[in-house]
Amino acid sequence: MGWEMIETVFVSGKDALAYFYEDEKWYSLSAEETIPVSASEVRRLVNGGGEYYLLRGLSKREISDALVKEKRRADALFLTLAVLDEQASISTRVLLAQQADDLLLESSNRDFVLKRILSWPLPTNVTAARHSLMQIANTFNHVAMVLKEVFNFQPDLHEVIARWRESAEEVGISQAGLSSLRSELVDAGFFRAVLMATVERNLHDLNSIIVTNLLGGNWSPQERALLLDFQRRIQSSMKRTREYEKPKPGRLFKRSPGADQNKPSEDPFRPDLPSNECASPQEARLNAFEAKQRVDKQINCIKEMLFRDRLPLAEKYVTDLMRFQLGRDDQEYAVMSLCNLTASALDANRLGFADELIKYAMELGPNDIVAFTARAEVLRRRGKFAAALAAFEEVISRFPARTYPLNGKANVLKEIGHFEQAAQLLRRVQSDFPEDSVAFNEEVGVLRSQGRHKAALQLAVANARRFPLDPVTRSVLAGSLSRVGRYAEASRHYQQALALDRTEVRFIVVAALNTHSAGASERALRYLEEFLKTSPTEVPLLQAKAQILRSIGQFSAAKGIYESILRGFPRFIPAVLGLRAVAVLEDPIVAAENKVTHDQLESELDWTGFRTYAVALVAADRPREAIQAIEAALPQCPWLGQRDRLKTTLGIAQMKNNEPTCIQTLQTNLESLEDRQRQARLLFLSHAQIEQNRQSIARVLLSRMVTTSDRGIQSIKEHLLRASAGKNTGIGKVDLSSGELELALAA
Amino acid sequence: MKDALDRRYREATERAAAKGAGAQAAELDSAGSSTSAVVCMSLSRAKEFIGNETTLYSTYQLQVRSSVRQASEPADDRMRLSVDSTVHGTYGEMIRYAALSIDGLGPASYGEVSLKLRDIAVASRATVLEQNSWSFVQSRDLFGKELPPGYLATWGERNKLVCAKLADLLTPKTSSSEFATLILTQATSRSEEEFLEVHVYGAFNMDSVESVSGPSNPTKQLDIALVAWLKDKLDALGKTWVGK
Repeated sequence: MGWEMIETVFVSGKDALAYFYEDEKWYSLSAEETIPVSASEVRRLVNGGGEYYLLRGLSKREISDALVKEKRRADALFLTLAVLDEQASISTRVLLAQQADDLLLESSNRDFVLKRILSWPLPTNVTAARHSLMQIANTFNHVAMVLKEVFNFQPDLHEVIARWRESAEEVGISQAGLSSLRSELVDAGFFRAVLMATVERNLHDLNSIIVTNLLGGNWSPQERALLLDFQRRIQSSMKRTREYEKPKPGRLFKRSPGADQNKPSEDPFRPDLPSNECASPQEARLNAFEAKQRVDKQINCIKEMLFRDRLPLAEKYVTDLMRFQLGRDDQEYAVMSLCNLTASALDANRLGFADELIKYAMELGPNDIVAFTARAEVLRRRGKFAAALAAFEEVISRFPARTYPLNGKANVLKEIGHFEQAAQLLRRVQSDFPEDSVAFNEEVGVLRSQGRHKAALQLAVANARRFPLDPVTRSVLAGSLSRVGRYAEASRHYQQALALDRTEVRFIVVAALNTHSAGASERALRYLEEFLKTSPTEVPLLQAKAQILRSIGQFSAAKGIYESILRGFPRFIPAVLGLRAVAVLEDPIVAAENKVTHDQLESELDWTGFRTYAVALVAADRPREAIQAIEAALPQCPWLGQRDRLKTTLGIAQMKNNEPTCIQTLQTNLESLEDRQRQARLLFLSHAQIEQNRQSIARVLLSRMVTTSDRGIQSIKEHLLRASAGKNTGIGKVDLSSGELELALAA
Repeated sequence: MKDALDRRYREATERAAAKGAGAQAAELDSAGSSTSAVVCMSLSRAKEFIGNETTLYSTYQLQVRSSVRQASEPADDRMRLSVDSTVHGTYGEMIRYAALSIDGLGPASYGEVSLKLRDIAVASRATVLEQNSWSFVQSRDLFGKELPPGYLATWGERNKLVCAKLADLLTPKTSSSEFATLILTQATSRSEEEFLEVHVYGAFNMDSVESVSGPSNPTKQLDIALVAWLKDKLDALGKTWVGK
């Protein structure tokens, strides 16, 4: 039993059933049982839409195996499609994605699913919901992998299917004939293969796919005519695209014609990385996935060079990368690579480099919305708000139905203080794209910038209810709670955000800093240590650890961490600034010698560096120079948040210089500051009141308004309360404690 | 045919009345008029059927589904078509099979999900046979012969067939709560299930469905996800899910 060959077997993964014929009887076989069935039932069910496959010459064991395999494939397809189904609730989609993920772990199931989903363009309502779908899918690696591929290839898939329809019309095949032909081709993975050839602009592959299918099928003359017409249309479409997308050299990244094709890497850090002066024939024939792997490797290497401050090498690698991608006619992917690298250049505060990269991307992709939006974003990050606004408006006029430029424009409006306009625009985006959480979260940011932290919190709560599974929305809620001093609740929501997206290091960092703000610095450090055990070189974690150590006075430990980061990544600006801050606290006279002028400053980080210098001047007992520098810089500073911080530093400098105006300065905009910044301001204001012999006011401020549990602030508060009671504290000579200096650097 | 059914109905109810179960027969008659046609299917088939009528599925899933390979007719299947043609003649292929049910639950051996069809969707195109047609034809050796009269009813007269089949089983102690089991007897194996079979001419889709019954607490993770999805789909279609 079990080893005799059975001649006729129908297997359906959809029905999870197999029917087989043995000893003149029909049986149905399921996972649980084998039961005799009538012939008419077999006929009804097999022809009833269960997609039965006819198999021959199997043993019962093989039938069972085939059944299990078919069922897993069918389930994988159904579950993946169901995740995309807009009628399913979020919690159902999570359940479905969870199950799909297990099945998609098997590459054969993934292949089966992709063959089918990439045979027809997704409905527009599904592609419009890409962002929210990916938020769910990102928790499940294999689902995310499949859906990313599905979404990324949609534009090309539309093209392929448009050509298919044209061919069908040209040949005049009947609807039933077309449907039957399509079904067979979908099953054979034909459309996906054509799509990949199209994406890779690979005529050779395209021709080979068509020929293989022509030879392999028993096609009618009309079906053959359709396939050949389709081949011709795809070919000419590919040729048209190639002519249109002829690459232009960028300004910074030129081709060097004399270079060796297989020259080894000149990079002392990465000798394994080949130099791609131009794509060799072998490279040009790499399949899409091999090429992607190679490009990913090159991009990572360029990012590394940016942070290692090896700009010439980064430039050279960009040139190599472009040659490789353009040599393969991967124009669209070249634009994507450049956009990706632009983001990294911004992170490394290489603003000029970022600008060059994105301009090159715009040249290569004159119709690429991402490139044009990224250019506007680069302008924003450079503090060139008028230009950024114009750039966003241009993108919006060209791509009116896209959210990124609309959100980007709102962000710029927020930066320049046009809060109401920003909020109105965001509400419009929310109404047009109700499933996109970005505009909802951005509105929270607008309210925060206005200093309306309670309203921001209310909105953040509503948003979290609306997007319960969006980790970013959850972290925005946590941030809003933290900003009003509700640290314990913030902590819970940060943990929730992290549970929703365990790969996001930012959530760990902000959770730790929130715990630190709540006065539990040791706990925050232990929390970071937990993650550092498994990721000891994760720079943001190290940076956060150093920041906390610095604020609790462990300067040498903080310095050690900053130095270790900078040994690996000399261009990591937050570590550079952290090290400077430690220098201000340890040796302000030397730190004040590193002059920073305001005329070349662009990014927010640049302005943080300037403020650190101003604090160094105050600490080095040169408050007059600090005041002059800040007063000259303030009108030039485009960043509203940085202006508030500079005002705090100005007030401290004025206090140190015994100027009564310090009180007015420190009171400016006080109510709209976020909690920690406001608490710091109140401390300095109290100190200034003491210096002006208004001890009673200082005591009221300290006892009633400085309410945070932050250990550093509490310690300064106690110190100032003693001073206000007339005890011997040294106050009166306008000395700033190291705690106050640290607060001045951080706040 | 109609006379024969009327005669069977009259005689059965008279026999019931003679043994003191006349009231029960009248109640059964009334219950028979409020029965529904129920189609059973597995969860995995239900997801296809229910999903095919909704946005993503109707516009997309049909396009991406793999080849529907028509089963080749086995050469040595001597009995193929014989039951259908015995009962329905040349239009056997057009018939969709359902079971008659009071509580919306169909024979479980055909699947754990029961779809209760709307009365209006079947009233003008359904007949009811006293028994599962396969068993009916086979047990009476009716292959190629005419059906005996009085065992097939139009939808509007299904109450008569219910009484004709079941009135002899009534006693003065029979309660109306037992009717559901009398009309459709569940069993662990298909051959032991007993029900009146409904034959619906032509196809139907989810528009014809009034409500769906299915497992309320599935144990397998995949089934939990499937049931959650089915509930969402039914909700979107304005149909009711009844957990069982």
